[in-house]
Amino acid sequence: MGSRRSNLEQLEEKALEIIKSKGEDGIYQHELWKMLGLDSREGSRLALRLLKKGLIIREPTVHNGRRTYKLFLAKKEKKVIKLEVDIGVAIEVPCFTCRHLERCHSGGGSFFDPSSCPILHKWLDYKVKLLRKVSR
Amino acid sequence: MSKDSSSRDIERLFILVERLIGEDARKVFEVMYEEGDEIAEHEIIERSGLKGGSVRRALNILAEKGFVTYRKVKHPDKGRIIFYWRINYEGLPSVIKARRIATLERLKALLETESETQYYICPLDGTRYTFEEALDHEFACPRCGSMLVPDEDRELRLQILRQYVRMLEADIRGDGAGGS
Repeated sequence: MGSRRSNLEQLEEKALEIIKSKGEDGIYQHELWKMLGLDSREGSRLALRLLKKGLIIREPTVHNGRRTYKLFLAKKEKKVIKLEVDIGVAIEVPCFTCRHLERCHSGGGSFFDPSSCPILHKWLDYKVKLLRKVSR
Repeated sequence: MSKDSSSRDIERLFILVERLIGEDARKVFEVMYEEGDEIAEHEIIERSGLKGGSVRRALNILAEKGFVTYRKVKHPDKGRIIFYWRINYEGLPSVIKARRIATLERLKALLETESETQYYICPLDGTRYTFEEALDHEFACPRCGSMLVPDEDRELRLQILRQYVRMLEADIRGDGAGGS
């Protein structure tokens, strides 16, 4: 029983991948049956299952004079993704966005050294200037 | 109540991507952010209006830096490989945290050298010399001969550095408490 169920699930997954790969063009349902090697009875059952689960949508169309359905992947209701980034004050410091951050070390004669970094010193000079302006 | 990132922090994230990798990467990343879930490579190319090569290059660097992840799927009828890309929502906080810690370390290193050294400055061109260098030149600028003067901004520089170190440390402590 268990393996039968997983076969079904595999089939559904495969069907979804195919429908997804068609993107906004969608796919005629008979094309999908053919690609999956299903007859129309099995095929329409599969489509109905996916439809019920809300994974696909159907659109009635006419193909070669016959009424049929075109299948599309259901647009998932825009998941409000929680992008939990909290960057804060770091964005002000040049190191945070510096391409050389990983290669930068103090001492040891490394080429990128925070103590002698021109970018960092320029930033610091700028901050000093700002502060002087304010205090004047 | 879980707090969502403010739009200001999203903008900061975009700025980080742009400065770290480039403008194309920012565009690609924005397209992916708008999509929310995974998105096919050709879809990114279409929506960003960039060339395929630029998009792929940007995606690869984004992935290498841990900003995005991908899933490879064989195209069901054509047999070629399709890439579905997605922002690495799970990994992003630790990527940011690591950069923040690294930034703090660099600032601390600079603070240490700055507070250990007394600089002398040429009043004409602003070049800085350490005490030893200034002594070697008998406190005269080796280029123009003007007398070098002690760096009068020293205290301000130290103040600014200490302030940023404190702020970064506070943010990093907040990471530990706020992360779920």
